[in-house]
Amino acid sequence: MKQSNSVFRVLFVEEEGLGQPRVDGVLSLVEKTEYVRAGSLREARRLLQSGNIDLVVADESRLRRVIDSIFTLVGLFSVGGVVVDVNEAPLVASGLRRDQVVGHRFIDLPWFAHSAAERTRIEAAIASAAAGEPVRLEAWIRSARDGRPMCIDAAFSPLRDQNNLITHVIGSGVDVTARKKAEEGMVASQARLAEAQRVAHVGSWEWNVADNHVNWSDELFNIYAVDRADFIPSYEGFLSRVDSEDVAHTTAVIRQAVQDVTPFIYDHRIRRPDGEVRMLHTRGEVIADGAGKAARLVGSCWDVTDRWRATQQLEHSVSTLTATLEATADGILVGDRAGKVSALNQRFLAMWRLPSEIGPGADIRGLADSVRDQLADPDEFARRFADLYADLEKEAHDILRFKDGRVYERYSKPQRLGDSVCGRVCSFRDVTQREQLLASVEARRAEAEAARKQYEVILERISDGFTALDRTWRYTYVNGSGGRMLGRKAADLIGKHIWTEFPEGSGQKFHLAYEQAMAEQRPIQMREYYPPWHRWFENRIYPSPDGVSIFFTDVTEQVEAQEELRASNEQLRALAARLDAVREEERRVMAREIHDQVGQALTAIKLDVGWIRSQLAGGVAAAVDERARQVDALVDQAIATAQRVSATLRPAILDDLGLAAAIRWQAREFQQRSGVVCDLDLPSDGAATAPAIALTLFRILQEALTNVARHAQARTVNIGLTLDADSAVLSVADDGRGVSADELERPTSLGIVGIRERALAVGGAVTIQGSPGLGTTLTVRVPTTVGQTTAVHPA
Amino acid sequence: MTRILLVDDSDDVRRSMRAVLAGELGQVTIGEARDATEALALAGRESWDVVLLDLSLPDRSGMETLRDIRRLKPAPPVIVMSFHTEAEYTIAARAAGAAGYLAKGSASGVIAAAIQDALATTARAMD
Repeated sequence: MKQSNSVFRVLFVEEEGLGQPRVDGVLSLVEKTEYVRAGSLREARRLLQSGNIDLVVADESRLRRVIDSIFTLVGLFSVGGVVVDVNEAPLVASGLRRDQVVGHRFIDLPWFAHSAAERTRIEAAIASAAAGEPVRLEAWIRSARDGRPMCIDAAFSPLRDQNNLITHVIGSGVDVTARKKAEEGMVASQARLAEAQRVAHVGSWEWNVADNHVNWSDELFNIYAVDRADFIPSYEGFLSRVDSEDVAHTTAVIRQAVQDVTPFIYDHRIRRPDGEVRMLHTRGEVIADGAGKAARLVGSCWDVTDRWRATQQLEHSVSTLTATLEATADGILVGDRAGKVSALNQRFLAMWRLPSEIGPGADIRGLADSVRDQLADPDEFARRFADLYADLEKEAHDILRFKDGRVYERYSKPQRLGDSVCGRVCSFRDVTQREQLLASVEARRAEAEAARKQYEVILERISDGFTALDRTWRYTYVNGSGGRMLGRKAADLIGKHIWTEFPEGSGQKFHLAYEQAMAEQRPIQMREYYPPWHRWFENRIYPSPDGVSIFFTDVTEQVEAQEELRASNEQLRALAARLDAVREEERRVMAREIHDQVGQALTAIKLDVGWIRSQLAGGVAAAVDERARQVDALVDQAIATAQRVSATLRPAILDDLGLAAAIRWQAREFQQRSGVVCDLDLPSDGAATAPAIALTLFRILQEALTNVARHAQARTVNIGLTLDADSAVLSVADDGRGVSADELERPTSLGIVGIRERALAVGGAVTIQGSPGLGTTLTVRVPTTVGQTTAVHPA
Repeated sequence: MTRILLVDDSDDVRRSMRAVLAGELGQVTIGEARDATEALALAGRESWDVVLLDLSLPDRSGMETLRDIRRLKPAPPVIVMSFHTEAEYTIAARAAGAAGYLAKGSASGVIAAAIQDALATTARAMD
């Protein structure tokens, strides 16, 4: 600054341009001042060159307006980083007033409050500029007004005075937030493109024909399932991935495109390294060089495998549907809204006797007219046809009867495509056989009904109760007798559940029998006591798949009579056994009496007569001797008679020597008496048998031998006796004519009845088998363990 | 003198038999028993040349009595007498050790012959 006592000349430059800020303080130091004005920079430059100017003052407000009007952020900082001045741009951007900024450390401003790191960078930048080193950097600040992040392209440079000393640091900056965002957006949109390609399975490629350089997008690598690291794209490499069946077509398409320089579209299959086949849809363009020849090919590929497969499936479905249509037993006719055939099958034509060449496009009304005379009622057919085709929405199901007896069932429905009717589908089914069957079934049902009525008439006349139950155990029929026996009106029971009506019967034996008959589908006949009613019933249960029919009779009187008879039989049998036992005892007593009294007396008499005769020998008259001899002979006869009677009454041999000895004796007697040879198969004489059993078997043997003698006409008879731990078995087998079944059952066969009764009395059983011409075998088996306790002996 | 034990429950039969035996065999000593118990007691106590045993005794089976007598030491020969003439009795009596079997009602001579036969057999056996 030039000091002078004279006039201090100040040049005001009104035009924008040169000048230095902050001259206010300087002016106050000058005592006498002369102001010179320059209207333009050129004039100012001339005035300065004159050398009389001490100070040049530019119009600060005007300059400020210029600086303030620019978007660049401008700040003047002390070398320590305190803000000396700023233009409007940062204030507008930050929403701060000038006094909030000027006089504060730059890095303490709200702009940097968000980041210590940014503050450090700025501080370092200012320090660097203050040290003479300009710095340029991008700094993120936060708008003090709305907190919005702003990216500032900032430059800090030193401000030197005339002595080249650094007095200030000047900072300027440009808001590059939008550009930054755009850059970031660019990066993001490239990523989005790749993502879109991936999602859409669209890959792109470029082929430089001249150097055979091929460039693939990431997605194309994905589509080919090859790794960028392993596969370097080339035309040949591409062809090697094309499915062998499509290589010829692919090369032809590309050759044509290169030759003609025309865009191309084609589909081809590729084979992935793992063998999977994918279908690609490729669009390409050929870019020509200056000479009009193909230089580059660019294009994109879609993986359309899913669509391709779906199409294949659709084709398959369509062919399946078509085949189904033809295979169906129904005749099918599909008409469009215009009344033309849109589809039909051969079956339809055959059913309607129509020529096989009729197909889609034929007029349906015409077809109807041509067949109407086949119908039994052509007018009715025509009327219904008109009805059907008059109302698009109509659905119909009817029966068509033909003059020749055919019967078709027709279903007719509107054909819909979405919500709208696009035509009509009619299907025809030949139900002639079914109708015939139904007619015959109906006829049979009527016959059955008539028969049922007849049966009902019969059933109402019988005295047996009769009910029919269905599968759910409800009465379907009860005859009058049945109603009376059940104590109900027959009509009141129809439809009622048997065990609801007669709960007391549930679980009884009849109930179980009904269930069993139904389950096993076999008739059951049973006679059972029915406790709830204290009655006996005989039931004949006949099941059928539809239920059961039951005949039932109250047999209480009959059962009671039978029971009485049985009881009386038992009594008779017991009586007979008792009588027999008494008789046996009497015989035994008589036999004993004969032996002990008569026999001993006769023995003594015999001895005495013998003694008398010995005393008389030679000394008496011949008449006396003769009389003595006659007495002796009479005594002999009496003894023989007594022996015989005794043995007949009760063979002592049975008691003295046992059953086997008695049988042997009896057999010999029989053989002598009848001439029938007896073969014996007996245990040793020592074998003991309880007296009651022995007597029973011996008497049975006597009866059997009597029968042999009387009826068998046998030559030999085999008599066997087997004794084991708990039974004795006597068998008498002859070789005679063989007893017949009739004879066995005849009540007059008293011998057999007697044998059975005797065996029964000791708990035994008798079997008699006769074979005509071969003989009869009687076998008696009696238990030896209980035999002794049975009532043969008199009690 | 021949010693004969006569076993029969009938007094009449024993009386008649005594007379017959005395007549047929001359000098005999006759012991009498009415039942099996007496018979076994006598047979065990005294020595007999022959025993005439009725099979029908009131207290025991004649066959069993026969077996018991035959078990005595020494055992006298036993001739069974019985009203029963069935062969089974003869066989059974022989099996039980009887020296002879006489049907009641046999003539005196037959009885004597049977006794002599039994005595002779015993004598032969003792020689």
